[in-house]
Order: sequence, then C-alpha cells, then structure tokens
Amino acid sequence: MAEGVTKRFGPTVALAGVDLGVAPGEIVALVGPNGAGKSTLLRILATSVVPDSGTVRIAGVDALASPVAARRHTGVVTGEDRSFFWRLSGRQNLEFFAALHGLRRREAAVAAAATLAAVGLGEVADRRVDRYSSGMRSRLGVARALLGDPAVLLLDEPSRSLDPEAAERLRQLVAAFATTRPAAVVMATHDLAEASAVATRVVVLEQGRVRAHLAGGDGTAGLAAVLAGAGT
Amino acid sequence: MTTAGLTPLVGRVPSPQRVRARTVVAASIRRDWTIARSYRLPFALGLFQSLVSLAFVDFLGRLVGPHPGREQLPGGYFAFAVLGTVLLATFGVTLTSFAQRLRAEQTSGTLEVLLTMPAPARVAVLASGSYQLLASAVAAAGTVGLAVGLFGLRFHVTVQSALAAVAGTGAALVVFAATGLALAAFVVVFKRGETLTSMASSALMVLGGVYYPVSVLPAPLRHVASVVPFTWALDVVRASLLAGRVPLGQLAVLAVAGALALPGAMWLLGRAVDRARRTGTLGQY
Repeated sequence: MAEGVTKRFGPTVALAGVDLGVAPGEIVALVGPNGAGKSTLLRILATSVVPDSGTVRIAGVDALASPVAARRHTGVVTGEDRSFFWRLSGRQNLEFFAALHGLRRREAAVAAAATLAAVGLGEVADRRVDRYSSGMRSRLGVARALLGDPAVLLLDEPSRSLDPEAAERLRQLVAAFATTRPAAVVMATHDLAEASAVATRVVVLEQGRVRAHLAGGDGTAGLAAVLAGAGT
Repeated sequence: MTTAGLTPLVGRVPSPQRVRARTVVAASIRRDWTIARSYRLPFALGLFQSLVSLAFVDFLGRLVGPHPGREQLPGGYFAFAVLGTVLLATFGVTLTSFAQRLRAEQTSGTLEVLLTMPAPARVAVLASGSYQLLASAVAAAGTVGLAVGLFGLRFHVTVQSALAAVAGTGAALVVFAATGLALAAFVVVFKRGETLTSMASSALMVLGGVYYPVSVLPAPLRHVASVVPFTWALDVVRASLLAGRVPLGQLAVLAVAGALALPGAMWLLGRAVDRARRTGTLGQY
C-alpha cells in the first residue's frame, strides 16, 4: 500500500520513510501521539496529500501516477461532522456523492438506499442531516465511504465524537465490511481500547516513523506500554 | 444495525464507471436546487429586486430622454441599460460563482471530501457553479420578460442577428467561466478570494458600459474598456438585439478568447489543486 513514504511540511518531518501493507480483510489501526503522522499517512493514501517521495498503491493502482483511478477503489471516513450538506437529507447527500463516483441517478439511488440500510439509517434516510445526532452523522460518513464498494477503507478517528455505544456500533460495522467484502481497512485512532478491539494489527507511529507492529489482540495494556515508550 | 446488515450491500452497490461530467453537473444542480428551495424568501426577493432594477432604469431613461445619441443607444436608453444590467448580472455570476462555491465548500468542510472522490477536480469545481449559472440565466430571462411585458421593451432583430446574440452570449459565458475558474484557482491556493471577485464585478460595471456607452469614459479608461471581454459581449448583444446587426468581427474575437481562455483556466485550476495536495492545504480555510 505505502512504501518508503516521506512527507515534510516546511521544517517539520511528518513522515520519514513509512512502509505499510494491508491485505484484504485486514484492519490496521494507526496509533501514536499527536503529530505522529497518522492523519498525514491517511491523507496520502486518500490522495488528498502528495508525498515528497515513496510509492503508494491502492488495489494495485499507482495512486501517485493515477490518483483519480486510485480513488475509485477508496472510501474515506473523515470523522468530520461538517463534511455534509446539512440542509439535505441523508439520502440526498449520498445520492449526490454517489454521482461523484460516476453513478447515474437511478444507480445512485440504489447505492444510497443500500448503504443507508447497511449502516442502520434507512428509517431516517429522508431526515435532514442537521437533525441527525453525531452518531447518525458518523454512520452517514461510513455510508458515504461505502458508496463505491471500496477495496480500501480509510478512517480518521471515526468515533471521536461518539458515545461508547455508538462507537461500538461503528466498530462492528467496519469489521463487518472488512470481512464481508473483503476490504483492506486503515483506521487512525487515539482510542487504544478501540484499536485493540477492532484491529487485526496495530501500527504505532512516532515522529513520522513506524515504531512497532502489534497484533490486534495484544490488549490495551500492551499498546499503552509501547505508546508510553513513544513519549505519550 | 447488525453485521448481517452489510451482506446485501456487497454486489448491490453498482460499480463506479468512468465519471461523466454531465452526471456530476446534473447531481450538483439537483443538490443546489434542493438547498435553494429550503430557503423560500430569496425567490420573492429576487423578483422584487428585478422589478426595482427595471423601474430604476426606466426612471433614469425618462431623465436622459427617449433618444439620446441615437447612434450610440439604438433602441433608446431603457433598452440599452436593461441589456447592460441583465448581462452584468449573468456574467457577474459566471465570474464569481466557482470561487464563491469553492470557498463555501472550504469553510463547510466538504471540499476535501469532494476532491477525494473519483470525479476529477476540474469537473467537480465546474459542476459546483452550474446551478448558480442556470439560476442567473433564468433570472435574466425573467427580467427581460418583465421588461417586455411591463415596461414596453422592444427588440429589433433578424434571424441572423438573434443567432449572433445567442452565439455572442455563449462565447462570453465561456470567457467569464474561464476567468471564474482562474479565480477559483486563486481561492484554492490563497483561500480568501472575496476581495478579488468583488473587485472584478465592480470593474465590469464601471468599464463595461452597463449604464452608459464606454465612449463617455476618459481616454485611458476607454482604452482599458476596449480590451475587456464584457464590453465586447455587450456590444455584440446590443448590436444584435437592438440594431439587428451581426457584428462578425467582435463575435470572432469573443470565440477565440473563449477557446484560448477555458483550457488555460482548467490547467491553472489543476495546478492549484496539485499545489494544495503537495502542501497539504486542501482542507484548510
């Protein structure tokens, strides 16, 4: 997926030769202190940031040479409430974003209905997004990412504004999609319990470098020990 | 929500094909039309504004007199100024809509998401301003309709001159859309573009000959006005609709300007987005 990826923002080294491979069906959690490079790595995988050096391949496509082609295989969950058109309903939002995947009106309606049902928003599909709760908007963000049936799902702190129950539902949804499709999932999170619970592998980043790879089942204590060593 | 809920998803979501620009444009128009309908008052205000604007020009025309400088104002002052104001509104929207929409997407947080979708950035940005262009064209047609129905505006056209007016308007729209995309590129890089867009709109009003012929301007401004595409477009439309002439030379200049400007603006926008991706500032505002 990413090989030797380096990125600087002025004098700041955001990523320094990061390698990351994720297989279909695998969920990789990126953890690390603020400024470790988690979000930058996700943005590079999502093609919204271009690295200074290194290679990025998404589902076999060279994402640096052909970013538009790579985006056809990628779903992005920003965890950002504001990234919707609030005066539109959930269905109308998804139908619009489906058009950006190249789906025509009827196909977009089918895709929107299927993804809304999948994330449990079928009954509130026609409610305006400004009347959704934070949890609903998070699930809508996942639904949007699933519109193109992506081979790679990228999530940036998807549960940061959710209560524990809603966060658990979101994790179930992501895990189900990873195994059902199967899709490669990369999730940045500060929540060690979340990383331990949902990930098949945890990658610890520190100052733009991969410090450790841990199995997802190693538990929160193991992760906390590694992160403590990383200066958190 | 259950994990089983995802099973029907696989295979049901149609595979995305090559993204067609018309699909994205149509979806953007539906989106903005739905948002516009959720605010009811602007429609009534728009109609009121058109009537006030027409009444203003009508009263001004009475002050100026029915036929001041017949050679410069064929059809009289009212017709001259109505076409000027209608085209100023339409081309002004064309000039500013892409940058305004892009800025709105930046501040609302949707821009980065839009540009991580498979639709190319230039298609997404072009589509984003399409509803405003369509709405301004409808408003222009409505204003002209009111001017004909309530204020007695009359055209002097032939089939050829009517076609020339359509062609001239189309070519001018391409020129202004290109300038608008260049302004959008500015917004992508520098984030704040409001001052630039409002300066451009004001310059059009002063230099373009909306309320007066450019011949009344001082010589230096007249020279500047003579190279502004808005002036050419107004000359073409007025000559076609009010004097029944076909100004082929000016039409050709507009068409060439459009043909050169649009690819250049697309290239500029692409470079601006690439730069924002390199500097990691796509989502910043």
